[in-house]
Amino acid sequence: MALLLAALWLSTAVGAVTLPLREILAGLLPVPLRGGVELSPTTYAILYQIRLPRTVLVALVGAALAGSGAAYQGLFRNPLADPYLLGVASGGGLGAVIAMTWQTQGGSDYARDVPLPSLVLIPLAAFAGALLTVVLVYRLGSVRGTSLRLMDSHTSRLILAGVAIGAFATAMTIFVMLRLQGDMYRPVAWMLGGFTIGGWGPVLASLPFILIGLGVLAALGRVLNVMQFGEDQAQHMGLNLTRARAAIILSASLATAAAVAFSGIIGFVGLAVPHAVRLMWTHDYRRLVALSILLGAGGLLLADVLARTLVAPQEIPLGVVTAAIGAPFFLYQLRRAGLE
Amino acid sequence: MTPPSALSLENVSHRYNGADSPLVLDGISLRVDLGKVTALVGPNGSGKTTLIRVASGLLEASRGMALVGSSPLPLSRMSPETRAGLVAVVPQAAYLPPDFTVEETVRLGRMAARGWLAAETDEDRKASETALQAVGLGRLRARPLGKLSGGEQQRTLIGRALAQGAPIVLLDEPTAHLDLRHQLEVLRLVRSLAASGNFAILLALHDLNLVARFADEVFLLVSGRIAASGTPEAVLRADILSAAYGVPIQVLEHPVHHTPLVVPDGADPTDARGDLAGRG
Repeated sequence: MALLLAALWLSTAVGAVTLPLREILAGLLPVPLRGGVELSPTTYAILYQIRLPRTVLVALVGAALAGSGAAYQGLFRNPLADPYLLGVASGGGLGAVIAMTWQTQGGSDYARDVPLPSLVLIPLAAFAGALLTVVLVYRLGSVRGTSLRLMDSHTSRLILAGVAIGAFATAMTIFVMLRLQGDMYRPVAWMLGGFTIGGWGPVLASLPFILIGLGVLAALGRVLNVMQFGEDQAQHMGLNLTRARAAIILSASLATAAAVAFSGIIGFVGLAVPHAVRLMWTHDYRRLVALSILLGAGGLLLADVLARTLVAPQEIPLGVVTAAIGAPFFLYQLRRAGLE
Repeated sequence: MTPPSALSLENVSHRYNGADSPLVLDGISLRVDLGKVTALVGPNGSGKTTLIRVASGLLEASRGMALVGSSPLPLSRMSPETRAGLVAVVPQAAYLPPDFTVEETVRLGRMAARGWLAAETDEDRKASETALQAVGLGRLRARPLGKLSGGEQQRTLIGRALAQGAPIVLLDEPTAHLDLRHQLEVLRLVRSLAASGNFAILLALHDLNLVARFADEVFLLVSGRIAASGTPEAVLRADILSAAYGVPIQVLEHPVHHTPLVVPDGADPTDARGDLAGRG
């Protein structure tokens, strides 16, 4: 929680112009409560049109990726399961890119001020792509290829299917982007995890989906706990497996898709954050999902601050930063756990 | 009129695949009553685990059904939550996530009663606590499953089954991989549950001498059919067992408990060390 608050402050304060904490706090309060702190119109604009939307969006994306990563790991009882390895993120990305391409037909580059209804289409298309991917991965990854019931014992098959479909979706995404006329920087930056659409639009367009998805996942902690004992025992304990799996997959895919739609492909958050929570705090999914959401938001905010400042005024794509930081941290945690 | 038995299997037959695959279970009927320990014995592959799965309602038999009490609805057609309130299962060689503690595991037994979202109630906590005490794991409540002995793990699973609050408890090979002391410990626990009169217990067991000592009623399963049933004394007979297992078997009297004592005959000289060879 403290980490998240610190990260929120840093992310809001740091940039081309550094904003002092008292101006940020004052800016968040209604005018009569500001205690005499005056904000210049420039500060006000930076705060409300650049920093805050970006901060909120990054926090939402981190929360969505880490929360759904935790849920996927619990669902498949596999520490490698995460939105990317299952291909869900790439499938969502493909959906998002198709939606973006369709919207930019007519030669114009993707504009900064896209109207909200069009923006909402992007996460919806991403959700469709993500769901399609999950269903495909399920079908290919299960032996009978019919239902959700057999998945449990075929996890590695499932991950392989996810990796294959993910690679295919990524290839298709690149193909679609190459067909786009004009500036390649923006789509490529998006692919690598860049926040290319500014303002409040993306926040508003993804917020409801992420809130719903993560809300359901956080509430399903007990169900995920029961699932850790395997499909037979879970059923003996009275769990309706089919329904539980559908609920988890729908929610996790919804959150992932909404995140991917505006942030592109940011790796390692969904994999590393739940691991870190498990190693540092708890295996109990009732808290694991919630803690992953907080740590995911805070962690991605810090990564984003680095992405913006390391080689300023240029921005490093966020996916590059998360992989560079996430991989060593992940290895260190693995090693520490192995020594205990 | 006799009261309806807690659990009954009515003419259950099952094959796993198409119509030409062999019957794994072939016309099985049996009843399991409250206050009794009913044992299922038989050679490997005779269908014990399949029968337990049918009895748990997880597996719908190709023909026939498992019924509870006087309810006309087969177990396999009930909702998972309803079923879990009637039948609890301690599975064979169950996977246990090593980080979960004894208490967390036992409390998960309350999931079906509470639903997915509702918070734990006092009733849940009481049921879990009673179950934890019944299996004698109160002092180990905070220990992770990965750090328990085999016997303690088995008792944890029995505790979870008790917390579920189901009157019918099915155990598939609960003594597998346990040493002698832990075998007795688990079966004494099972026995005491039955003695309370609140549980009907069906367990699959390989060790015929443990069956002789702890079961009230025995069903001998051979190739998916009931080859013999009745009290341990009636079923555990040399002729019946020799035919069922395909090896010469002698049945003596246990020197202490006076129950049947089953010993493989050793007529094949390669079975035994030199000094015993040729004894049969």
